[in-house]
Amino acid sequence: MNRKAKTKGSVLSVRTGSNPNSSSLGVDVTWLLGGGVLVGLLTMVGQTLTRWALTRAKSKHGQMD
Amino acid sequence: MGKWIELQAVPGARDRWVRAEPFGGTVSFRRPEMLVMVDHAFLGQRQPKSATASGRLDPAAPYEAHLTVGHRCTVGCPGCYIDAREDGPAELGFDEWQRVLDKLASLGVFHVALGAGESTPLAFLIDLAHYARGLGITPNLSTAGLHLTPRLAQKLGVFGRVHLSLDGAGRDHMRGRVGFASALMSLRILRAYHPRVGVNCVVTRASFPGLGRLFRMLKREGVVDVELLRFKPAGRGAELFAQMDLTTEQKRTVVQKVLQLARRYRMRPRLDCSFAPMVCAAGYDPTRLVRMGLAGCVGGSWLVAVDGRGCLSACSFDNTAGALSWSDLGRPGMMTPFTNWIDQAPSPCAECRWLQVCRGGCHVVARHLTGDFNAPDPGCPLVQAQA
Ligand code: SF4
Ligand code: SF4
Repeated sequence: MNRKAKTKGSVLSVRTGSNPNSSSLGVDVTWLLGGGVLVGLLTMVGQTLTRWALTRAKSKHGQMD
Repeated sequence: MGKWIELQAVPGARDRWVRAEPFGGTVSFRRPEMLVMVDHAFLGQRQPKSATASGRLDPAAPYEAHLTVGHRCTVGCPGCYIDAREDGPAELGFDEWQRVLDKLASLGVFHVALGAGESTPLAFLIDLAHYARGLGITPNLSTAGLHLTPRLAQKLGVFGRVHLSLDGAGRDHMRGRVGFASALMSLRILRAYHPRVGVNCVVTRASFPGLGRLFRMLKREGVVDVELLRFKPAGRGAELFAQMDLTTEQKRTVVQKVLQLARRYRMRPRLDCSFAPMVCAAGYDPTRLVRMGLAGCVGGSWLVAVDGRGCLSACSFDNTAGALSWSDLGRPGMMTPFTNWIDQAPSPCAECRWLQVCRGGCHVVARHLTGDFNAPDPGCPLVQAQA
């Protein structure tokens, strides 16, 4: 693990959409299109958005944890 | 926070945005709809030694619960997995369902998916969805579309998503009393009144060749979200399984076919957990699959199910329901046949590089076909190649 990852941590998984089905659990497979690029992009977007949203929520609504 | 980005507070924990997990935490977004799992370091916490021991993303509590709110139904689908009938067993009432939701909220469950036999005629369906919202849980709905009127569709706005059961275009649709024309009408009504409408489609041996027709029809109707499910040997489906299950060749090619259709029609198909072995067998890098949220058999871990009689199970297809009650929710170690399956995985799963993501395929299918819950899913192309 490099120094940056050590201090900033990682997104382990991003599940997009919400499961609309009342009997089993589905996953959006369109991320499999486009080689590994789309999944890399998804992780990056998930990471940026989560960090940004948590910081905002924390300052607006109080401590996050 | 803004029009485009909205976090979902962890139910039962006011003003808290991260659900604590053994691996770190989970953050749920209402907009854009997504669940993000992060490690301890991301949250500025020290990583406990045990955190990554299993390498699995097993959360502290389920992310979602499937609530079969009724076992009575007049539609008569031949493969109904709960064997719903007009004279089905006595069911929980509104008060009891409220208590189930209270319990789920206390565990921090983010979503519930309501389904039934046919749920839309249920008098308390809308009230129950509002009650879930009040607790901070997002309710979603699966429906066969029976008795759907514009007035009812308007009220369904309380649900985050509404998915109509549609098994194919034209004659591939096999929903008893609800013929294709009637299902299509319901789809149009739903689309007129709800912003997030999609379709759940059970893929069978007979309907597989018509998947292209289904995608084309959905595209024409403006639907982009379609969830594809493997036929399960549960309820009335157990007797039909041999003739409904996909052929070996269909299982081998289903993922590529679905992706081709997704590209061609610019749609967003989802494959259900029981299709995980087929995705893995297509050769994708396991790390990449985990990153995009693919989860194989996560019954009892990511999801739990409560049926109309109040019985708790690891997933809706688990026919051992009856041994546990919804009041057992949150009690540790209840679902160990599911949650510990990996630890005793037999060959070839034990040596498989996708074991941690696939978790041995669908155990309900394995139990039906081999009589052994712990057997590898015989439908997995990799298991078939070994046989
Ligand atoms: S047994 Fe597992 S894979 Fe099969 S439907 Fe249930 S949760 Fe999904
Ligand atoms: S061999 Fe087992 S773990 Fe591997 S993909 Fe098949 S069912 Fe899943």
